Amino acid sequence: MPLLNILGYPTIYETFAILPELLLVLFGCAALVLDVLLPRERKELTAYFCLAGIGTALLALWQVFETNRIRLPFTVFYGMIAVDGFSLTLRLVALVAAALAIAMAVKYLDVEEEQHGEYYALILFATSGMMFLSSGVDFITLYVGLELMALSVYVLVGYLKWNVQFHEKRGEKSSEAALKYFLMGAFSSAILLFGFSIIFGLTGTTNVEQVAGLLPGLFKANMLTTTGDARLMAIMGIALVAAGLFFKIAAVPFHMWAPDAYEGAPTSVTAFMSVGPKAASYAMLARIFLVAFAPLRVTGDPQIPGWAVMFGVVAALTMTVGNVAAVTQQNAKRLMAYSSISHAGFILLGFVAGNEMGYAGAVFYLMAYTVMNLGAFGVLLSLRSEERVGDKLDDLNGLYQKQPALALMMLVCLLSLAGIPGTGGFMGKFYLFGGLIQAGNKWMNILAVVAALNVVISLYYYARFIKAMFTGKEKEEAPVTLSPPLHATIVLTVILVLVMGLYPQPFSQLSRFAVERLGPPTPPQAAQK
Amino acid sequence: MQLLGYEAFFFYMFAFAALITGVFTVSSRNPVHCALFLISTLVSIAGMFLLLGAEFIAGSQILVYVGGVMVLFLFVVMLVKVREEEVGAFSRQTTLGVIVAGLVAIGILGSVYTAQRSGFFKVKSENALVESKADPYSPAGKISTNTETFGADLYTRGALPFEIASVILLVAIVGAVMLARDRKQEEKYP
Repeated sequence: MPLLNILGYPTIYETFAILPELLLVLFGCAALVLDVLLPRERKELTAYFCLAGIGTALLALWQVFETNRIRLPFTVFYGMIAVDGFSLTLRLVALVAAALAIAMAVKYLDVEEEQHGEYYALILFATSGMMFLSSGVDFITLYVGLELMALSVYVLVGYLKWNVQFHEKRGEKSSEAALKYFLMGAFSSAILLFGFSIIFGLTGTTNVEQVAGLLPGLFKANMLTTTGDARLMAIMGIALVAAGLFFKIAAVPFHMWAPDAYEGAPTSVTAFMSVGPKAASYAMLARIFLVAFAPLRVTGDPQIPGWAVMFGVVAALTMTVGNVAAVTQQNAKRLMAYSSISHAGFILLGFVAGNEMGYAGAVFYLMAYTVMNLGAFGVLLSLRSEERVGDKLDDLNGLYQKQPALALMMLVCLLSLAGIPGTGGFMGKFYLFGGLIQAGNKWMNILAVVAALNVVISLYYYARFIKAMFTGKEKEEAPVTLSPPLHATIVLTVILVLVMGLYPQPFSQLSRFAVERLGPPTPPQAAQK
Repeated sequence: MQLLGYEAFFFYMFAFAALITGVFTVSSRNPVHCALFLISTLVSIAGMFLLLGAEFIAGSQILVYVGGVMVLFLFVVMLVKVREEEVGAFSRQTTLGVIVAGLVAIGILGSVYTAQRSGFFKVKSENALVESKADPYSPAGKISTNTETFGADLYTRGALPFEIASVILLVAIVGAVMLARDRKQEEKYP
C-alpha cells in the first residue's frame, strides 16, 4: 500500500475506508430517483431498496474491518478520518439504528398517507452523516458530518406537514416541532463553532490529536510566564464546545427542545432521532472530550477544575430533571423524550468516571439504549391506526388483551430501560456505575448514589406504561395490527435486549474494543471533583 | 497585538461599523432594512478579513454572501411580503435572554482581557504555542500567496469535508422541496 501512496494523495485504498458512507449516499440518491419511477401504490419498495443499501453498507463496513484488521488504528484523508475500534463500532450502531428505523416506518407512513421515497433517502443521508461523526477526527469533518445529520433530521421532523385527513393539528405540530428543533439546532451549531474557533485560535490546528498535544501547554506554570495567560480563553472555548454538544445530546440545561421536537415529529422519526443522532452526537462528544480535551479532564490545579466536574454536575442534573419531568407526562412520546433526556445523563456518567470501564460502559449503554428504545417505540408505532393517533399513554390500555405477545415484548423493553437485571439496560448501568465506583473518589460515589436514586424514579414512570398495558381498561375497540417488518423489528430488538442482558460478553468485548484508544492514561490520583 | 497607523484606523472603523449595523440588523422591524443592515455588516467583516491579509476570504465573502445569499434573502422577503414584526413578540423571556447573553459576553471579554494583559497575543518567540508564520502582510512589490495556500489546502485536507458539504446541499434541496410541496401539487404531479 505505501507504494501507491508516493505522491501523498489519498489512494483508492484510503477511499475504501469510507466505502460504507459512500454507499449510503449512493443508495440515497438512487432512492430519490426510484421514488419518481414508482407508481403511487408501490412507493414502499423504496424502503426495501434502502434497507438493501444499509445491508450493503454493513458488508462494506465488515470488509473495512477485515482488510485493515492488522493495521488498526490509522487515519486517512490527511488525518480527517480515523479507522479505529471506536469509529467501526459506532458506525455499526448507526447502521443498525437506521435499518431498524426504516423497517419500522413502512407501515406507519402508509397509515399517515405520507409514503415517499424522500423519507428513506433522508434517513440514509442522516446515517452517512452519523458515520462521519463517528469516524471524524478533525473539527471540520466532525462539524460537516454533524450538519449533514442534523439537516436531514430537521426535515424529517417536519415531514407530516400536510396531513389533514386525520388530525388537523398534527401537521401543524410537526411543522412547529421542526421549526423549534431547527432554530435550536442552528443556534447550538453556532455556539459549537464559536468554541471551535477559539480552540483553533489558541492551538492553530483543528486535528483532535494535535489539539490534545498543544492545549495542556497553556496550563503549565512555566508556559504561563513565557507565553502569557490564555487559560481563561481555553476554558471559554471548551465551555462553548461543551454547551453546543450538550444541546445536541439534550442534556440539562440545554434540553428544552427535546420534548417538543419528539412530540411533534412523526413517531417513526422520533424513534430514529432518539437513538441514531443521539448516539452519533455522543461519538462526537467522545472524540472531542476524550481525545482533544482529554488532558484537561483534571487540570491538577485546585483553582481551575477540569471538565470532569462540569460533566458530573450536568450528568446529575440531566438524570434528575429528565426523570422528575417524565413522571407527570400523559403523552407517551413526550414521556419518552424526558426518559431519553435522563438516559443522556446516565451515559455522561461514563465520561465522568474517566476509566476504561466507564468509557466501555458508555458505549455498551449506547448500544443497549439504541435497541431497547427502538423496541419501545416500535410498540408505540404499532398502536397507530386509521382511528387512533396512538401517542397517548391511555392508548396502551388493554394491550395485553389485544396482543399479549406485543405487550410482553414492550414489557421487556421497558424493564430494560428501567435497568432490571437480565436485560441490556441493566448491564449498561452496571458498567457505568462500576466505572464510577472504580474511580474511587468521594464525589463519584455520591454521583453513583444519585444515579441509583434516579433508577428508582424511572422505574415509577415505566411502571405506568406497564400498568396501562396489563390492567388498563381499553377505551377503543380498534384492534392492534402489526405489519411484518414492524413485527420482525420488535422481535429483533427484544432478542438483542435479552442477549445483551444474559450473555453480554460479545457486546462488552466490542465496547472495550471501541474505547481502546480513547481517553488519557488514568491518572494515579482520581479526580478531585 | 498593537495596531498602528492606518491599520488601527481601518480596524476600528470596520469593527464599529460591523457592531453597529449588527445591532440594527436585529433591532430594526422592517425585514428589508434588516437584510440591508446585514449586508453592511458582512461588508465590514470582509474589510476585517482584508486587514488580516485574507484577501480571498474577503472577496468570496462579498461575492457569496452579499452578492448571492443576501440578494436571495431580499427576493424572498419581497415575494413573501413579510409583515413588520410585532412589538414584544418575544417579551416573555427577554430578561432571561439578556442576562444569559450578558454573562456570556462578560465571560468572553474577561477571558480575552486576561490573555491580552498577560501578553499572550504579543508572543513571537519559539515558545509560542501558535507558531506565528511570517508576516501575513505581503511586503510591498510581492504578490501575496495566501490564496494559493488556501487553494492547496482546500484541494488536499479540505477535499473530503468539501464533498460532504455537497451532500448537505443535496439534502437542503430535497428538504426544501419536501417541506414546500402540498397535497394538491402532489395529486397533480404524482
